Amino acid sequence: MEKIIMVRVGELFLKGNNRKYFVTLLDKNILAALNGLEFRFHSTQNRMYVEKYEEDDEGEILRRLQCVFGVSSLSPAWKVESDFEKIRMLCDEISPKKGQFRVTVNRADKRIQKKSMEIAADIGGYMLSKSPERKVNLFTYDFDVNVDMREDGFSYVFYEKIVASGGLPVGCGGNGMLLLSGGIDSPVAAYCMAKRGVKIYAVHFHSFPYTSELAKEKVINLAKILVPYCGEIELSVVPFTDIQYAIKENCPIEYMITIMRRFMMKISQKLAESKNCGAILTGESLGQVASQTMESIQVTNSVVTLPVFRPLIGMDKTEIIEIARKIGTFDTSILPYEDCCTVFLPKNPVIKPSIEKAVEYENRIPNGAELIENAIRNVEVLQIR
Amino acid sequence: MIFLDNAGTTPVLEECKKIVDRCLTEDFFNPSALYAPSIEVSRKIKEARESVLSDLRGAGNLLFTASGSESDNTALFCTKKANGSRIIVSKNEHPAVLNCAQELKQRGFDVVFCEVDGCGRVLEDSFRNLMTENTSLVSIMHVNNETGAINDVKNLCRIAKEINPSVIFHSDGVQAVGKIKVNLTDLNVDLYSIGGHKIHAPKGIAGLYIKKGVTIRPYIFGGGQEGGLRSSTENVGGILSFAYAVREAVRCQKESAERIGLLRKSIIDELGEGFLAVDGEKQSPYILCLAMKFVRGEVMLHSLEKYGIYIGTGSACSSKKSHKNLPTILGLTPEYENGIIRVSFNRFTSENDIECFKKALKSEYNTLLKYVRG
Repeated sequence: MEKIIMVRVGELFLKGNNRKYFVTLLDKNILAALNGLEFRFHSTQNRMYVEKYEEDDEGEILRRLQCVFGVSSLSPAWKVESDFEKIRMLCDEISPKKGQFRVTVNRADKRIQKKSMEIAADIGGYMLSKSPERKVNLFTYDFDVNVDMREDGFSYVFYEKIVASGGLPVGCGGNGMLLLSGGIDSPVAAYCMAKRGVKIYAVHFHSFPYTSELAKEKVINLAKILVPYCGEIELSVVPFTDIQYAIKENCPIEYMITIMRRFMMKISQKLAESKNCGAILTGESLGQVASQTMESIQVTNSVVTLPVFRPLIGMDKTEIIEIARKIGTFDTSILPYEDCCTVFLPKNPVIKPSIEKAVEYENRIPNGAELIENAIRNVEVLQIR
Repeated sequence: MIFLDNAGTTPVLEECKKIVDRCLTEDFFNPSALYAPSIEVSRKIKEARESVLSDLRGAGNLLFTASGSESDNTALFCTKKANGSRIIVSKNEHPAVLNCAQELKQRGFDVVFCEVDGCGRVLEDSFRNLMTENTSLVSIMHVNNETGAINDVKNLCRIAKEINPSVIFHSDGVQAVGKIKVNLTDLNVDLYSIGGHKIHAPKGIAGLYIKKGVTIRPYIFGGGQEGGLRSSTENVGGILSFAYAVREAVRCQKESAERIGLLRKSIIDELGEGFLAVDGEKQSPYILCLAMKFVRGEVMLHSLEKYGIYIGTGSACSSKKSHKNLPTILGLTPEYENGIIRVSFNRFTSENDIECFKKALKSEYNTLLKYVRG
């Protein structure tokens, strides 16, 4: 017998003819997640198995696989040939010697004649005979001996099902360009979209010397925290100071943020197109700040043609923070380095900007297109893995 | 590169690197072992200790520690203090002292904070008023790390001992050794913290001078190194290179201080509109604290980075709480309070470095002024 980890996939079953594509992608993502560990991996029709790993790596493997989207649950299990004698002995050996228990059998291998209820009764009877302090109770039990008899001629015995992240394998939903600011919301948006299979590309706007290297480090660290969920992330750091200077010099201060965000969207769309991204992703939540009112979003959205996905749009801050804590980005997000939005923050930003005015003010900047070109030319691209 | 954040740290001397290298390779032996090469290493440590004590005119023991902060912590926590007795520290001590004081307050000591003047120098009258017979410990730094103000430690120590002869007087001298004259016997302090990496030794080595007759409780128990006060296998390379760095710094002290003092003065003399300099009567030549009107200190710091010039900041918006005091102490008006920068020198800082710095500072200030927040 051998200790293995059984990996169950969720929604993939729903995908009919595309199933093979999803499974191949998930296999690839699992292998990437387990990179650096010793193991063997194989995939069957409905299950995946991680085998031949170092015993003390089990916790680490489970921890990593729990983050992989497309995996619905995990069970550390014992693998044994589908031979009743062997299964009986194994169940007895690995189970506690006393306490109330039940046996649950799943007979996927239809070549086996016996019905699953009969097999369960047989195993349970053997276990009782071996240890008088064990009692069968189908409803309230201390442990549930699960025996999964698969088509490959092997059976898997396990006690627990660890819930994993669910969702769809990253990559199956296309590429998305995420505006990653360094705050609480944008990493959560990345998580939400990766969960629906989107491969994340990220763009960060950097206002040196107004924001420090530490602010950039913070964004890199956030991206790193996201890697177990999203896989490798390509982060583009855009130098943004010259654009901010130009806005400051030419536009009314209350439109500073609105016009800044329009520039950010334009640049993001250009980067998105160059990376084959089908959408722009943001962490906006309606009404959270002046730049996230419906009017502001309309004004900033109007400069792009790609769809903009805002997975947090209907969430409260507390809900967003809950996810940020769960995925581990919160503590990094609240580090106090200024991000590029706060540097030139006007005291009274416009809450209900209009597109006409934004365009009019923006046109006062004589070399807008050139500034965008320059910013894109000087992008620093980092592979976060 | 022009490095002007030497109150933060300094580059390591070539000779120190060689000493460390030797201790990591040929002389890697554990000084506690009994074979001859170990005994030789142990002897070198003893010589290093004596060398530092002699350079600083100390009469007592020198405990080697891993950092100035550790030395300060040892001074504050490991000395004998009657329960609930008074502890005096100055308002602008380094966080390694201030945060210890806050912790001692939590533990029931009567911790009080001595006032300082607009340059960060302890006010003698304030100290005298706070000093009581019931005061068990005083900790006042020799040179302030933010402004470079020199406290009259000798006089403050005398006042303290007049009022309570058994008071323990500690001074943090991390910014003083090698920068100004330090004579421990003359200062008459009981405890004195010194650090390695501010005077071109490696990081991870520092010391606490303990005057003869003063007792310290052990705080790391184990194999009994450092006379049982701080068990830990000795940082041999650190210790030997530290002794070398102290010797060199003390040897060059007078001459370097004069030269650096002139460079510092030349910056102050040429400051344009919009700058204030903290420049007291008793002042370390190695630290210059400036405040700028309207421009944030951190922004200037980053702007100078593109010239390869590195300075420090005393920004009130920085995450480092220690700086929050500074604008108040200096009595800055709102337009200056976010604009603090700290320029600090070492004995190798050249005239050319300072000329480049002055030029860059002036030009960047004028540029940044255009984009201050609306």
